[in-house]
Formats: sequence, structure tokens, C-alpha cells
Amino acid sequence: MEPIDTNLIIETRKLDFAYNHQSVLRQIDLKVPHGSIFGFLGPNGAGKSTTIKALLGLLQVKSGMVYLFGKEFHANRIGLLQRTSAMVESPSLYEHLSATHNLEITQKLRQLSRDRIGVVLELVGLTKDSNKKVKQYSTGMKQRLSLAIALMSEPELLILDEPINGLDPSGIIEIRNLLTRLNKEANCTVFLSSHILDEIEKLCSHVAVINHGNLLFQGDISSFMLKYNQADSVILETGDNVQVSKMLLTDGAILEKDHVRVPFHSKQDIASMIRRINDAGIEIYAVERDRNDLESSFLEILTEGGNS
Amino acid sequence: MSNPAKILTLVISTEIQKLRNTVALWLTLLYPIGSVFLASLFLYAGRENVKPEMVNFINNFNSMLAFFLPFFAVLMVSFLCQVEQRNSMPKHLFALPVPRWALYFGKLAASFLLMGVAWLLLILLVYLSLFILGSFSPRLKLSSSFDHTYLILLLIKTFLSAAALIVIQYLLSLRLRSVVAPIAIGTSLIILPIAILFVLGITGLISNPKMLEWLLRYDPYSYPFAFVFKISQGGEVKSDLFSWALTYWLIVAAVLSVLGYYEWRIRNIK
Repeated sequence: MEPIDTNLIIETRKLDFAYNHQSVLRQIDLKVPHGSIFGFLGPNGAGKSTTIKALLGLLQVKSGMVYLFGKEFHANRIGLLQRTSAMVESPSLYEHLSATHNLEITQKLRQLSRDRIGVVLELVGLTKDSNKKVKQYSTGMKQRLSLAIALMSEPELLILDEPINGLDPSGIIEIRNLLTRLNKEANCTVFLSSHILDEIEKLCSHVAVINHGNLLFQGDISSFMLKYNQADSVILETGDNVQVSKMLLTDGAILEKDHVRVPFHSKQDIASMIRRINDAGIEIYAVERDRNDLESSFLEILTEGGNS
Repeated sequence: MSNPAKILTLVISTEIQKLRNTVALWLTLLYPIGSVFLASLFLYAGRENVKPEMVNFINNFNSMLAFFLPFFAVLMVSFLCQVEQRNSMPKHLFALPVPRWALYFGKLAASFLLMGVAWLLLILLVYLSLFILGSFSPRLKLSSSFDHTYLILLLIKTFLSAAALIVIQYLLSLRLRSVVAPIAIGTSLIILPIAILFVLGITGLISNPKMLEWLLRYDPYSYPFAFVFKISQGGEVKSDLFSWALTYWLIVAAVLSVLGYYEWRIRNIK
């Protein structure tokens, strides 16, 4: 058997899971480094939540192994869960109780100091509403409370399933800052799944992409961008788009609806294109730079994965 | 967290905490109050005809609470489990560093704890009721012949008769996410044997209900009704606290609760 890599906080080996004989996870080999903020990307139904449930032992996997902190999960379940906190799918809260009572239940079951309740309420900005019943909370407040419950035990590993769902823009920024701070100051490894690619790009040091139960990519975010990013492109609106597209064909120009898209590698490429269009006596109305981002890389990887 | 007793105590204490403002808690209070109130009403209404013997008073109370016991148990257990299901809590609880056995037996223990609370309340309310009734009618006054042991043992036996029902209802409620389904199944199982007895009685196929007492014995959901029938026929309950039928259902309850745990232990939490 391959030796355990102690640099990894989460490792799965050939993880398989099926619901009613339908395969949901196929041979997942996930490797999450210690100290990372790891983004887990995938469209709906890709297998993100199922993977998270398998990591936490909520599902009986068909085959494969899960290792947390370098230890096999099932043989060390209690000890490993003491060092881990999780928020799985929609917030799990007792809606007929207040935030404080919800936190008290976790505090008792995890045998933590009662002082932690005030600390985490403060962290997620719910101190003022701590005695309100949770059913009176907005979706964003419930999401924050779930996060507060996850932070109660000061975990070394925080597993979050869609943590910014339902949060308003300021809430998203607060949670992003909080997770970054936890990662940097408390050395907490964060494993989070999300649909919001922009957030993953801003927050994560590492990323993995899953689709149809297959892991399509994993690695640090810069290598992901490097591997899947094609050249950025410039969008040109001119007096004669057809002529311009022919003229720049060798540069890879594509005629789109009301503009021409041309890939470029340097600023000098853009200057050269403009000069040639001017020389041809064609008027230029607009030049817009279209930066290739995580979204296009993500779409590309999904297409590539789907085609393979 | 290695001491099993400590873990179980912790889980039970959180179960009690979750009961705030729940239907399960309200039912635990309403069931004793409602049954004792109705029994007192019947006793008072028939005060001129009732034999002023203390044992009759006790049987009267017990018949009423035995009649409502299966309904109370089905509703209480279903709503107790619904607290978790409604809020998608199993996935949160199973991701905590708490053994699965503690979560399973903790909630089951909480169900029996609520039964215990109802039992205690019933005893208190029976005394309170007889004290109040006695001040209205001398025939209903508590006398020195009141057999306290008989009252307590009879209530214990009646409550124990619902043990298998509680375990089966618990397993159903853990398995089914909706609260309606386990309640519907439980209520049907309570009513069915009574309905059969009723129909057979009307059609004249049976003349003596005792002939079909065995039917109640083989349905854990209507087994508590057997006490109503037995007592109505002047049967002695005290002498056979652990009768074969009761012992049988207690063993079934214990076996089912252990088997249920093995199923729960390997269950996928979706």
C-alpha cells in the first residue's frame, strides 16, 4: 500500500459511492494539503456534497479509503471528528430554539467551554440576535449561525459545503475575511465547495474540479489557471468587422455577433492590431480587453472532462 | 470522551434541551391532565352508582389512561424524532465526535424519559383528583383502604405495556422523514384490532369480548387496551405484574431496539 502523505490533511484513495446502484463518485483521489484553503468546484449534481459526506463518514462508501490527518477515518472516527468541523449542505439548525440554545447543544456534545458561545456569536456578528428563535432568522443569518456552530471547537480542519449561499455581498466579504483569518492566524485548513467561482478565485490557494463523480483536476490555483487559461482576448468594434476579421485571421480573430474577438499575449499585440486596422482606413469604435478567468477555465475543464 | 455513561448522559441532556416548545413536550403534559380530567368527570358523574371501593377508583383512572396511552406514545415518539428530521439535523449530529450508539440510544432513552414524566404526573394528578372529588362527594373520599401500591404497580404495568410500541414507533420515525407517515401507520395499528373487535361484536360473531383478548395481545400497538378489557371484566392486575404477554413484549422491545441500532449504525445520511 502507498505510504500516507503526512503533508495532506485530507486524502481519499479510489473512493467509490453509489446511490441505488447508480455511481455517484468514481475513483476519487483527493489530496488536500495542510494549511490550504481548498476550493471544491463542480456543477449541481457533480458529487461535491456526496464527497463531503463521504469524508465525514455520513455515507458507507462502496470501496476506497478516507484519511484525515494521515489516519484512516473509520478506525479513528471520534478522534478525527474532534479536530474537524463541518457544515453540510443547507444549515442544520433547530429552528424552534434560539441561536444560543443551538450553540449550547454543540457545546455540550463536544464538551467545550461555555465561553466559546459568546466568542463565535461575536465572530459571525449574531450577538444581538442570539436570543431570537432561529425560525425568525433570514437565510444569511442561518448560514452565519451554521458557521458559528462549525467554529465552536476551533477546528484544525473546517469542511464547508456552499458556505456563502444566501449571504448578501457584505456578508460574503465578512465570511471571506473570516476564513482567510482563520487560515492564516489559527492555521486552520479550509475545504469548501462552492458554485461561486469568483469567490473561489479570491479565497482559495488550491482547487479541485469534479463533474459526474469524476475528479477532473486538482492542484494549486495558479497551476489551474496556467493549464486551462488560454490567452486573454481583445474585443474590437469597428466600421467593418468582416474585413477586420479577415485581416487578423492569422492572429486567430473570430467574427462574433457585432464585434471581432482576437486573442493576444502582450500589450504590443493589441497596439499592432490597432495600427493595422487604422492603416487599412477602418474606423475603430471600441476596444475592450476580455480577461480569461476561473470561469472560463472551469467551463473548459468541464467541456474537456465531458468529452473525454 | 470514553466514558459511555457520561456520553449517554450528555446526549440525553441535549435531548431534553431540544424539547423546549415542542409538541412532544406538550403532549407529555396534556396526556396525564386530559386522561385524569376525563376519568374524574366520569367518576363524579356516576358517583351515586359507583361502589365506594378504592380499587374501583384506581381501575377507573387506569382504564382511561390505558385507552389514551397508545395514541400518546405514537404521537410523542413521532414528534420527538421529527425535531431532527424537520431540521435536517442527522447529518450535523453524525459529523460530531459522538458515537452513533449514543445518539441512537440517547433519543430512545429520551422517549422513555418522557413516558416516565407522564407516569409521575399521572400519579400526582390521580391523588389530586381524588382529593378534590372527595371534597365534592363523600362517596369519592380517599379512605384508609386506598391501596397505594396497587395504584403504582398498575400504572407501571400499563406503561410497560407500551414499551414495544415505543421502540417500533421510534424505528419507524427514524426511518421515515415525514412526521405524517409514522403517525398514520401507528394510528392504524392502534385502531385496527379495536375495529375488528367492534365489527365482530356488532355482527354478533362474538358475544364475549374476552374471546378476542388474544388479538390485542399480539398487536403491540393496542396491547395497552388489554388492561381496559381485563379491568372492565374485574380481572386482577396486581398479582401478575410480569405476565407472560408483558414479559414477551418487553423482550421484543429490547431485541428490536438493539437490532434497530445495527441498522442505524450503517445507515447512509443523505
